[in-house]
Amino acid sequence: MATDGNASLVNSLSAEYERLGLVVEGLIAGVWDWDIQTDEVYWSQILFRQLGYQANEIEPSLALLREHVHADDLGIFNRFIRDQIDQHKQNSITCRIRGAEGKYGQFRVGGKTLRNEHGEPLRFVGWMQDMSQSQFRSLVETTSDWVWEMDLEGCHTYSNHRVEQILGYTTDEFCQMQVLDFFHAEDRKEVERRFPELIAKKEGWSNWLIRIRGKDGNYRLLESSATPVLNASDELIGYRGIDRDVTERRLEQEEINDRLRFELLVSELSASFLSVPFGQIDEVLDHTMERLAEFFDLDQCAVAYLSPDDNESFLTRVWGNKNTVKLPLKLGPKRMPWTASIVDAGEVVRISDIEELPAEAEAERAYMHASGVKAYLTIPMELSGQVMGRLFAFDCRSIRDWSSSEVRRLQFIGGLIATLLVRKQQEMELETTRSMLMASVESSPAGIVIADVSDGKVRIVNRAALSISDMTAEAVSGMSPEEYTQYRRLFHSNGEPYAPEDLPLSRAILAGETSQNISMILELPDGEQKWLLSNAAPVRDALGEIVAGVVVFMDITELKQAAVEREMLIQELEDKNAELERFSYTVSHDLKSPLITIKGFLGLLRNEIQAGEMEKVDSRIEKIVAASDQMSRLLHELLELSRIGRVENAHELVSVTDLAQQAAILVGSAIEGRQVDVDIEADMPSILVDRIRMVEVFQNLIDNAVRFAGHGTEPKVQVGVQQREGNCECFVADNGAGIAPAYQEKVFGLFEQLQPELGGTGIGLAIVKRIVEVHGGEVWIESEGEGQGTKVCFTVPTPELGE
Amino acid sequence: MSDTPQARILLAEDNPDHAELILSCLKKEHKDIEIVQLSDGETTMDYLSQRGVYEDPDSSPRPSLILLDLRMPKVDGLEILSFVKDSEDLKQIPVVILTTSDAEQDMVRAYNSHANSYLVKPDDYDRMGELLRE
Repeated sequence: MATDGNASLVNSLSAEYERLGLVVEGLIAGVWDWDIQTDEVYWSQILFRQLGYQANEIEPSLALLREHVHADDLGIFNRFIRDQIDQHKQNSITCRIRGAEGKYGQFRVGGKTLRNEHGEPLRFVGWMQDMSQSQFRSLVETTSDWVWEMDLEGCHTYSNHRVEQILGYTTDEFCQMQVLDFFHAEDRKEVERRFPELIAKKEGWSNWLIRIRGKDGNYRLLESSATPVLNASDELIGYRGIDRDVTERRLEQEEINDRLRFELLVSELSASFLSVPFGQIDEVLDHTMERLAEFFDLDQCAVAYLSPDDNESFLTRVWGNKNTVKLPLKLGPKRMPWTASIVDAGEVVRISDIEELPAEAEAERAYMHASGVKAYLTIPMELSGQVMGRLFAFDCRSIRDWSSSEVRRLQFIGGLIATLLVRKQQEMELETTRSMLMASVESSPAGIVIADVSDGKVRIVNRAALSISDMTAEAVSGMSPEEYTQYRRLFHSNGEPYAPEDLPLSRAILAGETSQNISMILELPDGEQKWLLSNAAPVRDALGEIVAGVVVFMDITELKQAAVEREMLIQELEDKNAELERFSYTVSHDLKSPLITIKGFLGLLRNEIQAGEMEKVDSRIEKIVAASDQMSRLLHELLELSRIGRVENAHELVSVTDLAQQAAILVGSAIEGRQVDVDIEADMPSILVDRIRMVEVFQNLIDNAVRFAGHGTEPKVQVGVQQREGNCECFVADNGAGIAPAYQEKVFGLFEQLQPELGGTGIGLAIVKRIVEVHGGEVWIESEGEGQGTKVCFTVPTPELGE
Repeated sequence: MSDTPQARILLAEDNPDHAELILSCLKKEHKDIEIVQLSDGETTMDYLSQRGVYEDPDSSPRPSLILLDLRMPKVDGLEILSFVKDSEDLKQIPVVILTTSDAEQDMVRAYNSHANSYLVKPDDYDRMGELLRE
């Protein structure tokens, strides 16, 4: 029926259709032809085979074809045909169609609608192609991986074109090669070791990393996987596999790892730079040099810091590998002048081979030869665009092409080190400042003590402080103010003891108080007291927190004593001055007094003589003569007084008894005239005195005593010693009128007379006082009042005898 | 003074010679005056306070003028001056200082203690007479 239909159809075909039929048979696609009006269907031979039928084994129909289409794709299939007929453009679809072995396969389906001259559809010709075969092939050829087959001898029997791109061989060249010969030696060893076992077990392999040398001589890293190929008898006849070129991937991986390692190095160094303790920068620099040498595979690594003043390197740290470095490196501007001049201008000096050093780098060449350096790199260490120092990298083993990555990295690290060097410089400046301060503290004449706020204990104590407190540095260090006051008592200037927390230093630490010019008394264990003048202040950190307290104190004991002595001297001078004033005042008055008498009476006398009144002439003249005598005596005694202390005779040892007796003889006439009984004690001690003056003392006293005693009924004068121990205390006593307490001191004043009518000058007791005082003694009056007699006492220091 | 028939002058002077000279001058000029002569400060104070031997106001009447030496034993002239001028009863009595001292400090202190006049004893007898007259 189909054949009949076919024949009738063929008849109505145009020549174009004839050619199509030929093409259809030549194609690999199966073709069907559907007469839309008759519903007759034609299948090509291939279509029968594609669907698993023998040719013409079954009556073809569109329904049968639809049965082979996967239920899920039937909609797409039907719509495609309808769309083709309705002139909707759609070239082809892909759908699952059940094939020969009852399995669904991917088929590409296409077709074309044939129409009459009116455009009405007459027939639809469809085709379908099994995609499984064609997709695999194109995949193999378009994949970026190398797909191959090989026999058990290791010869490749198939290779896709990738091999040309990966290894540089054509597929033909490659298939004639024994591939193991191109394996990297290590990998070949490994493959030859494992291969027999794989063959025996008929096993494949996966993700095997193998290095194979390409046509250009470079090794490529391949990641190889393979499955065994078996024949119908289940015998292993070869392998079919796929290799992926992972060379680039591996390089990228290595680069990432390398970067990671560098980042780790940088973070490690940064961390150590940030946390470097004060004074340990050198150690950190040494460690850094060692780490750089390790990382960049160097034999020597060094850093030189430039002094900001003269651009000379003044601080260098060198690390060298003991195994490869011949001579320890010594860095200085004179050793590498050419390098230094370039680096200091901010340029990198990159020397791969020291033999290629320019002529002007003569010093460098000689030095590198001597120290065994083959290649070196010198990098300016920059911070904010300023060259702070030079970083050196040396290779002593071979010439070396310094990569730009190495240079970049060392530059980066150089920048990091520069920050450390700035800190080092600041530390050195700080150390200098500290040294200056400590030298000032240590050599200060004032005592300085600094105590920490954390525990209140002494951290710094200078020499003067130790000397003033009479303590050792060992004893004071670490001592708290409380402990200090247990060893050395401190008092306020009013004598009250200091509570430890009230000390200026404690107040500075505890309350942040500043104290100025605090006077206090320090008592040493032997009881010696010192006057101190103290200032104290808190020490604050940059945030204003109190971290310590400082007390500065001076020993002002001598100043205090000097001030007291000065006060005493001033007082003494003032007293002397007042005395002098009184003296001149009284002298002028008392000298004038007899003068007035003399001239007054002379005037009176003259008037009386002129008036002829002569009866009083004699008495007037007597008064004038008496006043003249008085004046003469005054002048004489004043002269005597002024001589005391100025004119001194040699001191001699003489008994008080002798002195008193001599004096009594001189007063003799007065004693007799008044019939006074003078009793001089015998065996009085000897004293070391100016004999003449001391006789004068007794003479005046006895004379006075005789005069006053004379008024009593039984006038009596007694001379004796009332104390022999220590200073000899002598006295001259009378039983006369006595002296009221109010006048007992006054009588020693110049020209002081209680009873002028007794004919004294008022100078005698002043002379006594003066002489006794010149001898270092004192004089006073003991009298129980008027009528009780007068006792004048005086002391004379007893000489130390028996030496 | 007008209500008293006789001027009564108190002379406090420790120097007997000076006292004699002053008395001689005064007696020559004013025959009717009564002069009480005392030779030291203590006695003068007793007299003015009317105590001890001077207890009887009839025999120790108030003077109408005091002539006062400055330098005297026991109690000096300035103390007496202060006593007189601080006393309600006595302060009306004029006090004339008669002294050998021409020291400025004495003069100042005397006037500060309200002395009515300050005379320096001249070394000329006639001159003393003139001063006392004034």
